[in-house]
Amino acid sequence: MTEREDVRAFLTKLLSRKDDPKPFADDESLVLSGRLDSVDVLDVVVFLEKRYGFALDPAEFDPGRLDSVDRIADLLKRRRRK
Amino acid sequence: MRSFRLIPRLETYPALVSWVRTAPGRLALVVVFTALLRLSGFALWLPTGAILLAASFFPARRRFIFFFAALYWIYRDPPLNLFLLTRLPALGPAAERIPLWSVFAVVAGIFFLFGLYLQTVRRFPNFPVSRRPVIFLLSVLCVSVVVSVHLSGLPYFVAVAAAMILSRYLWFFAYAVSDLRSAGVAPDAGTLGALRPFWGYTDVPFAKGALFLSRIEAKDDESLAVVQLKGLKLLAWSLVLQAAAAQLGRLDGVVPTYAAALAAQAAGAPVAWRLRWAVLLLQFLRSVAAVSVLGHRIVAVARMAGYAAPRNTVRPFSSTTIAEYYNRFYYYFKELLADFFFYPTYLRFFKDSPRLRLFAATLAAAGFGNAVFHFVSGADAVWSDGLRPALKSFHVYAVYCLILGVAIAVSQLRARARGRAPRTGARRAFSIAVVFVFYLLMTVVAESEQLDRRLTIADYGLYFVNLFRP
Repeated sequence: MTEREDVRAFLTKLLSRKDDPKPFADDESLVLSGRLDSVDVLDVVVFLEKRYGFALDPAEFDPGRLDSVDRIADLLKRRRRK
Repeated sequence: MRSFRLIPRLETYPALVSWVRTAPGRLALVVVFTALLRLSGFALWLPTGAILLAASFFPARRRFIFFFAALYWIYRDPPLNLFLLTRLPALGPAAERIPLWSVFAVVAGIFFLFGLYLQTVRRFPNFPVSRRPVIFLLSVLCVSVVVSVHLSGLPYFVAVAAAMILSRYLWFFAYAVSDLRSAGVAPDAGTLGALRPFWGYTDVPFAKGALFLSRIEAKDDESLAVVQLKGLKLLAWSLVLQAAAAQLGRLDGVVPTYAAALAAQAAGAPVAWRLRWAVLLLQFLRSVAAVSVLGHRIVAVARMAGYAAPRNTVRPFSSTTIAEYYNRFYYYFKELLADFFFYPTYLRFFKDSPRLRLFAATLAAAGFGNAVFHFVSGADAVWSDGLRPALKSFHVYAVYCLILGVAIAVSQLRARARGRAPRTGARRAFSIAVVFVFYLLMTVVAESEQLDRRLTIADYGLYFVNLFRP
């Protein structure tokens, strides 16, 4: 499973926990569309911490970077490059 | 029947969307929108309509248009309490002789200093003042307040004006710094436009800062037409709510205001038991209606300007948990608390204890952050009443924040433990009723900042207890 697929699977699970089975595009902002709220963003944070050992810097934290498959995958890619 | 809509989904009619993309369509849309703005009683409907017209016909120049709009708004409606500033008790009659241009000089000075601060953040991102913008800005405000009360004459006036402006702009500045840090985007015309958005604001930045705006900006003609039609629809909905709220006004004289009921209680002649509940219910409904109408209007103008801003209030009375209601009632305030208190606390503390981590972050936002925001927002009380009385009178709101923070934190933990919310039937209705009653009861202390500041928590506590004593 690629990172992108892993992220998509996680977001699908997160949405299904909220009774939201609707499909979503990789570039769809799930926070702006109201499908995820701030507590759900924390689930994404925990997912990144546990699965990928991510430690997000509070001073640079931007929830807007965690609201779609594309953005999360991009974050993971950039982190790998560092 | 379920598909019935009082206001049709205009943006789903392809022919209408196409027509709105043409010059006559755009013109007609802005004219109708401006007429509705006027109907809503919005005083600045004409300049707002003119700005919207310019932005609709020159979308590529949108940010520059909004930059000049921001300058005009600062001139038209200076970001401070001019009435209080020109009647400062500590200055006496001398306050009225201070020329107005000096206020704008202070505004310009504050913006200049903020520009220097942004440069510092850019060049030295690891400085403590760069990493903790809210703490830094709050510290500057505290120092200005404390220093101001020890000055006199012109220096006193300048310090008070500066502190007043900072208290109005603190969260706008915080978003600008946060944008710079998270995206590395250099401040531009869009940054100033976002500092004083012409679509309106409270002390809460609607649509956050320039970075958020750039994410929700209409990128082409079609998305602009769609978002503008959504804006028109929202403004129409705001008018419907405004008309409904006006009906509550017909109860004036039948049901006393909450302020009057509290005064009657203080005078030893409390209103009748049933009336106490009616007073509270009316206060609660009025407050929700006021936030909804104002929020819808601001977001509607932002959408007409080409930004697909999320609604501020979305069916709060359908909430099945206390936390959900808070999410639905005042979205941009909740976002402010999340951005500057919730996420930072969550990312810094209690990483090994998930439940404590969530509890602490929620309490930091809905409790502590809420209290800080409202004290800053009501900072004018420091100059009208004095520092000590202002702090003392704030204790009621601080208690409210503590109760609310704990309630939302517990609600979130319970919701996560329970999993799915009840979908239909009696359980759902019961959950909705519990949430409604909780916020109805919180109304006892929720608006203490707008009521008689001499009242203590004991006065509000007595009103609360008397609700259950026929």
